[in-house]
Amino acid sequence: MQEAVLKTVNLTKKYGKSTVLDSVNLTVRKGDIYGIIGKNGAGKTTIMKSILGLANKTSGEIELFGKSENESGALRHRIGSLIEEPVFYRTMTVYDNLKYYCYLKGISDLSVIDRMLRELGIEDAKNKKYRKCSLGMKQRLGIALSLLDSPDLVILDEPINGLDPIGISDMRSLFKRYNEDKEVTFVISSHILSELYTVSNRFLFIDKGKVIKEITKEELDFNCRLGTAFGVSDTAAAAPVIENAGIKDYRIVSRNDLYVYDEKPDITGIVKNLIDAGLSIYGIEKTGMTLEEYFKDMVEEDSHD
Amino acid sequence: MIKLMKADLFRLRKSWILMGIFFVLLIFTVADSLFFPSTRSLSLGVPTSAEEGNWAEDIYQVSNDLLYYYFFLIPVFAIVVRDFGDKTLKNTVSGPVSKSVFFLAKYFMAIVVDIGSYLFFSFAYYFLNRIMNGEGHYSSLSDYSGAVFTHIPLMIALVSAFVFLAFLLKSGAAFNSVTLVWPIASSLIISILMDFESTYDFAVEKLAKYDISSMFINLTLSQDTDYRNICWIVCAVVTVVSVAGGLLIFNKREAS
Repeated sequence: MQEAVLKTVNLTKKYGKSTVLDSVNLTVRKGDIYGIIGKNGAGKTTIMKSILGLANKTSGEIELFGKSENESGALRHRIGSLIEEPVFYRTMTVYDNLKYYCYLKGISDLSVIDRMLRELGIEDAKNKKYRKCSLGMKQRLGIALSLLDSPDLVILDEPINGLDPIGISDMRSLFKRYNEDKEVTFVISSHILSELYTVSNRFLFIDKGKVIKEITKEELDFNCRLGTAFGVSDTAAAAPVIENAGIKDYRIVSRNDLYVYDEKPDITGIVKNLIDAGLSIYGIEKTGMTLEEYFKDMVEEDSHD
Repeated sequence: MIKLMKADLFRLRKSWILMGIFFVLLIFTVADSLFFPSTRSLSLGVPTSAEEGNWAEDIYQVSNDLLYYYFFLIPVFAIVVRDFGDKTLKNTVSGPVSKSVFFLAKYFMAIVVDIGSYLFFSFAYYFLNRIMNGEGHYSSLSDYSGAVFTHIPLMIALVSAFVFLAFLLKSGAAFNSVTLVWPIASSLIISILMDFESTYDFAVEKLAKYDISSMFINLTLSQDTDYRNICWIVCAVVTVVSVAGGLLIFNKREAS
């Protein structure tokens, strides 16, 4: 297992009596593209701000690169970030803004600015004043800043806001390239599940400041995949019957629920075999859902709990 | 800290309008003093009874430094308030710079620009005055230097208080409102207190003598050593409280 570059333990943030983050535990491992998914106001930005020291946590621990908070302050230079909307000096040009941050970060090779502008596709806006840039350009410049000094960890809050479809696709490729070629770990938040799904390998679902689930992409695929659900009197007894029918891809969900993931299962044959084995069948239905449905289900389940 | 100061120096050079206004105002002030030398000063302060001496024009010009109160606001605005206004603060403190380092770098930058400009323009005036207006219009270099350096603790206290207010108020409008009105408001309050018998002594003995405007005049012209010492103590207290208070408030506050 890869080392943890970021870990929060019972991270809690309160504003007065309102709890914005409630004991959030998350672990981001080296090489992850870690997606934080939640509705607007779920607490995604507050998690990121707390990690970056922009918001003061009420309680809990934040570990960076395996170091506790007291030791990790000096490691912040290894993090790049874009939180909420990008912000730069309005009267300075795109190039000068990045030059300012090169000086600030101690980058002496200024050719990195041209390279970043080229990679982000805004080299034509180099001499444009920041205040005259479009929303998409500003967003790309914000991402350029987060990647400027080859950070080990990049934290991006809704990075595709304001980007057109081509821009979104470009950014997706850029994140993957940095992740694969330069081993940059990403933490990306979004309320657009489908976008995060295409880049992330691990996900954190959050609602009302509480973690609902931390899950890998494989688990997510597994939970959302299409199949047929059989409600039977005893799934342990039903399993050999299913296997005898030549079905290998199935899952026992509970004592009475069994999912078959065969694309076109012989439902009549399975039902006959189950009845012949002395089992009762309570129901048969299609399973599987879209990411949105899965998230909605989790939120509803959590609120019922 | 040096990296942030270097970056800010680059930014000040690039966003030259505010700093341009600052330097143009200083040049106009020096030029006015050179071409229209006068021993009278535009000041709200109250001269102390201990004001003595027959000073040359250049020393009176130093006592007229209240204008620097307003000039000093410009670099503090450009160096500190802009970061709150443009919200660029979060880019810096979320990365390589801690909040304490951010505060101290901004503070020292403001001190360097403001005090550096004060010294440069004061001595530029002195030498130009010597060349242009000649004998009878200038003091010895040591007397003039003494007068200028007497003001340094006051100047540092002023810049410290401005930086503190910038971090406290965060918005440009609030910062301008408080700092621009302060000398006039404090003089007005003192005048009102002087109108009442019960508060007259307090107003004259404490408030009027140690008001910013009065200190500008009297630190240079007064021969009262005790008065000067108390002024310097007041300045030191304002400086320490501003820096410590600013650091404390900024570290406790959320940066976004």
